[in-house]
Amino acid sequence: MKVLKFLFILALFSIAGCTRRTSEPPMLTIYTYDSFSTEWGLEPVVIPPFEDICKCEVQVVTVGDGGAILNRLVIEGKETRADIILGLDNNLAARAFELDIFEPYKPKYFETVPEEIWFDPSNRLIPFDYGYFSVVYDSEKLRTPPKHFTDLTSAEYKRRLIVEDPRSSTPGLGFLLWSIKLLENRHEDFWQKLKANILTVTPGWDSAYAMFKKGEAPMVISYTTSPAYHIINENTDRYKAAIFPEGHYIQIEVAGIVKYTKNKNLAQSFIDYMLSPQFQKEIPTKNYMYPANKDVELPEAFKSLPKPKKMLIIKEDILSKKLAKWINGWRQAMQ
Amino acid sequence: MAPGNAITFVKRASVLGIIIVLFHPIILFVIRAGGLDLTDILISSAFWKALWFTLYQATLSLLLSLLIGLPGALWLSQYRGKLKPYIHAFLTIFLMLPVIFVILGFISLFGEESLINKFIFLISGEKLHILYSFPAILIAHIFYNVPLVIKIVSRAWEETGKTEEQAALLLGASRLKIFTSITLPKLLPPTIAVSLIVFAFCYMSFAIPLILGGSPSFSTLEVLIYEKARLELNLKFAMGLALLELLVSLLFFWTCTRFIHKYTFIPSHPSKVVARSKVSVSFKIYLFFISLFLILPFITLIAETILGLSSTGSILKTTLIHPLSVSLLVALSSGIVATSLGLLSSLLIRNLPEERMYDLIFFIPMGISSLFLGICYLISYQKFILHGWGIMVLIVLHSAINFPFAYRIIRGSIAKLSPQIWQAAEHFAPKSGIRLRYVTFPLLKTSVINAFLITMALSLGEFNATMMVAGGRLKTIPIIIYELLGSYRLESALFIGLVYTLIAFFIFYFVERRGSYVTPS
Repeated sequence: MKVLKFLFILALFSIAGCTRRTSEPPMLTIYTYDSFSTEWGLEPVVIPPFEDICKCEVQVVTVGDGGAILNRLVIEGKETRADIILGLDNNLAARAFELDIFEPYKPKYFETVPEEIWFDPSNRLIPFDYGYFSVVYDSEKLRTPPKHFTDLTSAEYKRRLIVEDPRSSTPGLGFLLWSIKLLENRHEDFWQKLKANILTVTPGWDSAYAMFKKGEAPMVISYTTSPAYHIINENTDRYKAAIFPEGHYIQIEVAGIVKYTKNKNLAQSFIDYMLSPQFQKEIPTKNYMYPANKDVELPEAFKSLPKPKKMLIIKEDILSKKLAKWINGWRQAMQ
Repeated sequence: MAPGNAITFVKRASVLGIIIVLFHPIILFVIRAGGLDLTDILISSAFWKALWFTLYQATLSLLLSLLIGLPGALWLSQYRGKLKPYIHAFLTIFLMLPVIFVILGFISLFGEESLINKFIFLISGEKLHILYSFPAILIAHIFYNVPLVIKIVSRAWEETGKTEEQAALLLGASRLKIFTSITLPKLLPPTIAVSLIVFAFCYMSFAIPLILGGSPSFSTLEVLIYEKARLELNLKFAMGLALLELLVSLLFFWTCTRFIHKYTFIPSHPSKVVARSKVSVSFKIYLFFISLFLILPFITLIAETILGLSSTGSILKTTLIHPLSVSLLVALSSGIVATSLGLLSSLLIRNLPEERMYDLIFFIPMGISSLFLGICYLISYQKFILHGWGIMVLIVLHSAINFPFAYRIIRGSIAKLSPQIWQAAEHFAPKSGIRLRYVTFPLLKTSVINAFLITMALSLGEFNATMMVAGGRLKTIPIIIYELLGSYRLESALFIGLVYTLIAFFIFYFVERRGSYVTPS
């Protein structure tokens, strides 16, 4: 029984650890995705300094991924406790606007953000980082990486690519939209041809990348910035992103102020802080994305990465009209 | 009110209490979803396609798991060797294995770069495509569920004696007749009980069919629910889908329980099998292959984890302790709660006229989409979670999810006891407290311990619903593994998963040893 007793005592301590006083005002509540508040995510490095500046307490509520945050907002409606939503992206923007819960705000450091990633002219959703989807490959296993997007259907890559399901994964959806933007009406043909080269379709990026890392296939859909992780943490440039001259589809991650907030000033100062160098300089090595503030100096590993010359994006109103049709087309093409 | 009626009333009120406390978030969901217009869904071809595939793969996986698992269960029920608690602890591990580990284990065993495939390539110049096909889905489901079949059924068969067969033999019945009319009906109830559980697992499975099937045409209903809820934000459609998903699984369940009641034979003596029958050569070969099949993926995964160890160092110290204690606390508490409530409710509903209706009600959490299960609890308990009581919510949530398993296992065991035992007990020990202490508990001890182990293991591995509630400092090990995988840290994820599995193995072994120390006679 001793072991059981020990475990119980150990676990009781953890209850004490989880119980936090939450009554001290003022408090800012942020809804965000899971990876924000992991030990190796942004929260530990950006939230405590902000708490010092604002003399407030920040409550970070993690809600799965971007899609899950939106679900949560649909369910909660006006009752939501969130002051800030952080972690939606350009592909979810249309749905987010339909909910009509964001307050426009033009933050400090506005001018440091490149114009082309500021996709919401009414300033409801404010970009904090961005990245380009790409095919990441293992250069030790793949001698001739694809040079163009349509090279992916070439017979030499049979069963060598892992993709994510666009219905449940951000890079999966990004890759589908990429093909639509580039090939327009011909994208379903592209997918029919690509089918033979797809080893498998995974529900999320995490399982796809794990399988890629284990060497099951030499190509996976990820970001052009993924190789930076391996350069910084594993000291290897074995994993590379294939850069296509016709351009790469972009993911722009955004945050917004909830219009029902009772802490508007606090929320606005957080958005200001989010674009400040102090917050932005952490983005490359925590999110492995490009910081929205272009004045922030990038780490060496990022400077060595090739950056796509052309950025591709589909406007959110078109996206929201056609998405269901595209997904159906994709499903049929993949049958 | 006559005393009998009063007791019935108290019983009903208590069962209702349990249902409300554990399941009110689900009841709210069913009420909300019940008012939905389902015609949109019923005319959508995507729904029928997904439903057909879901049922098809679940039924096939179930039949194969039974075919492969039942002989093993028969063997283990008669095995009396020293390895027994280790075998049982090992079989329990499968209930908590994260899906991604099973997939990675399969990849190292059968994948494009596996030793087997390299060998085949050397000989034939062609790679063998074992994975990413329909059979691969079945193999993975068999891998997951065969241990469960062996564990639950062997425990139940241990309690079944051979008195009736011997009597029938003396009276001149043929062996075939004895098998079909006595042995088979005796073996049937636990087999059906485990079938329901295995079916529910495969029915809800979505990552395995998608990844190992290798194509989105292998999408189950769960994937369609995610698509509607997360991509299209069409929560109504998704809720309607979840409701239909539940109704179909209830239909399956109802058919199975009818089967139990029609064909069950209740032995009068719960005597123990003592004689160990001889193990034939062909059976030994079977045992060898099944052990190899269940153990090999672990060995390859462990080997690869150790090889990738160098890059895991720094993360472990800080990351592991806190979530590990949360996981263990939640698993122990919810295991205890689920098992006690499972025992209590199966005792309470015994002999109530609507007994079988409760069977159906208690099956609901097993048939409901995990996405909605999490959302239901999130909505009902959000305030508690925000005020730091998330861990209590997690315990309640895990208890509710795992309660049906405990209930099925214990109830299967109670159903097997003959009415004469209860009558005798009531005659000789009129006080219910004494009866519980000296008759009920000793008779049910094996299945109660089994239920505790299984619910605890399920809780240790629970991910989908936990993710809805967890956050901030409240994280379990499966959540940490998911976060590590989500941030390029595969090696650390594998290492933590391995340590976690080992700890769990020792806890299971410990409970097994304590549990079988004093066996009832």
